[in-house]
Amino acid sequence: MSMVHDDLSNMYQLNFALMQHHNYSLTELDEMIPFERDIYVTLLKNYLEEQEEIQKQNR
Amino acid sequence: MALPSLTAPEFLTKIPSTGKEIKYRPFLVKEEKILLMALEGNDQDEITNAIVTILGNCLEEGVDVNKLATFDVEYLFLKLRGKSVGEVIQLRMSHADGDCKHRTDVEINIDDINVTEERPEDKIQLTDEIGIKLRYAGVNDLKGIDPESSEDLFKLITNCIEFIYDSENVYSDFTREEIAEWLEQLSSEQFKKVTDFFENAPKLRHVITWTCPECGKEDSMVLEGLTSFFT
Repeated sequence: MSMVHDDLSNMYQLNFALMQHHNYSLTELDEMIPFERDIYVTLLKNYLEEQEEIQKQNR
Repeated sequence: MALPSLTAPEFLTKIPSTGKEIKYRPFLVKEEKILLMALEGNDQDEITNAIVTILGNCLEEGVDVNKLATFDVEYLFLKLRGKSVGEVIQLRMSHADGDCKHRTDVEINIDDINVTEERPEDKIQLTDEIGIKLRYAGVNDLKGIDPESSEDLFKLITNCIEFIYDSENVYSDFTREEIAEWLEQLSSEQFKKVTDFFENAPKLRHVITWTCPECGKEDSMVLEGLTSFFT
């Protein structure tokens, strides 16, 4: 059982991906509440899946 | 002119030992990072320091985390975790013994976890005339203390004595050496009364029960103290 839902390595990888590919800044990410960041990641994932679906249909 | 700072949402809770209502805000990603770094080191004192730092940042001004009892710190941190990460924790529980290796998904809600109700008497009458007033151990009192070491137990008791009294006086001005010497004079029965206070102090406790879908056996696990919530 864990009081945190993440580990340090995941956190850095996620921060890097959000900064590199989705224009978030480290300050914005640091100032989020952890569950907020999870919500944005889930929304982003849904959006990317939708876009992928649209691209597939357009092919 | 400095711009106004943006504030996070605030919540209310009570300090278990005093019942005082306080405000707190969820911790932020940058504060969770402090905890993750401490957890990476796997050092209990570093984890405690991280928890104290985060609580100090998130509790309303005027609450001195170092002066709170350990169960207050544990409870408040759990509340903080609930509002920052989520109230529901998903677990995969396995049997401690037996042949079945199946891991069962179990959900627990942080709001169901509470501090035990028992409150031992903090004034302990050692003889007809002499008594001692203790306080619950705080996080600072437990730093570097090995619960298995009798020498460390003496240190812990010494840290937590508020005063000693007899029929005429209250003695609160004493050195650590004096108090250590005084404790050594106690009979085993008197000393047990003192140690019982710490053993029976309130603690964060939760029992997880689940039924294994593979073997049908009902199993349970007791989580006690913040340490068990981190492992």
